Amino acid sequence: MDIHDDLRRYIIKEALKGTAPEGFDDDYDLIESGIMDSLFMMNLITYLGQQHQVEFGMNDMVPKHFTSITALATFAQSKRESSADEIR
Amino acid sequence: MNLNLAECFFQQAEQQPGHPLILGQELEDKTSYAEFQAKVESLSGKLRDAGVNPGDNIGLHYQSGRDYIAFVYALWNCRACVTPLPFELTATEKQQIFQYIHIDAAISSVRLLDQLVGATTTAPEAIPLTEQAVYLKLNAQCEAPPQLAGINAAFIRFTSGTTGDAKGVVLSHESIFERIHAANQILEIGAKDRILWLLSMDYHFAVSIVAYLTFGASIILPKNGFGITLLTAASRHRATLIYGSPTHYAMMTQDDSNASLPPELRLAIVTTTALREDAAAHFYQRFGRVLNETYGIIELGLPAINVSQSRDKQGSVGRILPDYALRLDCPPGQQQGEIIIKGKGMLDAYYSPWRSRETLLQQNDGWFRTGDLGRVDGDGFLYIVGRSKEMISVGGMKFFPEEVESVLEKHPAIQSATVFGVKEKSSWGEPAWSHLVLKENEDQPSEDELRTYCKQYLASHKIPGRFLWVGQLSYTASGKKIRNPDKLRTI
Repeated sequence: MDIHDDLRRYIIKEALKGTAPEGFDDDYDLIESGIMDSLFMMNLITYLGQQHQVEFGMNDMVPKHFTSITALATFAQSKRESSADEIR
Repeated sequence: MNLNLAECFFQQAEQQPGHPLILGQELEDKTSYAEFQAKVESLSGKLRDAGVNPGDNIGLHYQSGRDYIAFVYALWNCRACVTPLPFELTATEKQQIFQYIHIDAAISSVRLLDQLVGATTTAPEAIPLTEQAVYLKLNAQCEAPPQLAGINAAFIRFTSGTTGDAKGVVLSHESIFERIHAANQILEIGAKDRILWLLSMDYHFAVSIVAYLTFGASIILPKNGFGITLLTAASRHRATLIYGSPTHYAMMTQDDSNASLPPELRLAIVTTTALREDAAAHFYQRFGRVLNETYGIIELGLPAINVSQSRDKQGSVGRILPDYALRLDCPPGQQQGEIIIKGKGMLDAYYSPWRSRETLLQQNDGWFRTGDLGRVDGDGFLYIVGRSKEMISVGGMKFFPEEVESVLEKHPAIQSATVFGVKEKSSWGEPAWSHLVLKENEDQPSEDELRTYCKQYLASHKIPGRFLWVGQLSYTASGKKIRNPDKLRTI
């Protein structure tokens, strides 16, 4: 499962307890809706690190990367690719 | 009649019913003292109807926020005691609490209910309390120590460790009352104060939240942890105090907007773990303010707070408070040694095996040995040199390395393990790393395999960020594991 699909699955399962609200799509505002509270954000970062080897630095902790599934997946993918480049 | 902290809050609510107690992210989102008192009294009635009796011990499995505070005060109003059940713990870790502490029932968030029911021996009936909370009557898995009945217990806080080190700290209403008054000689919290609250209430409540409600302050609860959100909430509500971990201040520092801290801010309190010098310096560069470090111990309360605004004293946890006395047990010829303290509001007892305050104090002539190492400068400012108990703190959640080591050492491929906190290059306070020695004739498991294995037994924040294979672990001359990262062998 790619990061995008897995993020969607994880958010629905963990933050929404399996039930997505009406209109919940990849651009749904996770911050304004209150889904991305402090607790969920920390859990999500831990999960992305463990499952997808995406390491967030302090400078990455800005709202624009967490505002939607699309934004999160795009950022996580770019972080993973830049880490892989460093290893190569 | 015994002291009850819920009644202290009710008295405050009668004096200033319209004063805001909780301030949300938006200006219009506020709950007054009178509204909160009504909420506490309503919940008290529902809890009594559900079966809560005076003297019961109730587990609280709920996310931090205004409902958490309301449930604690409602339980106190029912003359029950509270044991926090941090929901980020695994089912195994929660089972450990149930096996160690007698818990009659639990309040759980509906959203987190599955995570609690998995830790109980039977599937309890869930009685709705609110739309988001249920009450679960439990079959207690152990007996309460008989001495507990003689204490007006408010909290029993469980601290995990290796099997022999697990402990429950019993705090009475009277002890917490003494603690908040001792701390307030320096903090001077009152109705004029608006405190931006950023920590987990499972681990921080007794000398903070209780003080705010007793002394009539307002608590600001931001809606998430982004730096810009915290700064906006602080400015919007003209925060006078911030109470957070180094991670929260780092989040504010790295915010790239022009947001600033409000001029009314008088203290930016750091707790949970030692503050890195560079983090304090960056915060000062960004905001022109020093951070105020504290020395908090569950057994003692908050015996030292650095309220100095001088950068010269950055790195110190401040002078010992007037209601406490400090001694250092220094080896001959040395200026630093174990911190030993006595004063008001000490724990009432360790839960099991039961050790009363009197017993503990008799062992040390009335003093409490903290196990931490410190030194005191010429102005009387205390500096923590080492957390000799080696507790690790990640984002404000504390745990012992031995607990993680015992899980790792049960893995079939691991001969031995050391877990230690990393202070350098860490984004999240003090993440744990591990050194592992491979068993003979075993294949080295991957990091992914080890993480998956740990997830069965440990909460996420306890799982080491790195698994480093070494030829042998580092030990002191007396055979104890070395957990100081500066002294560890890496080959």
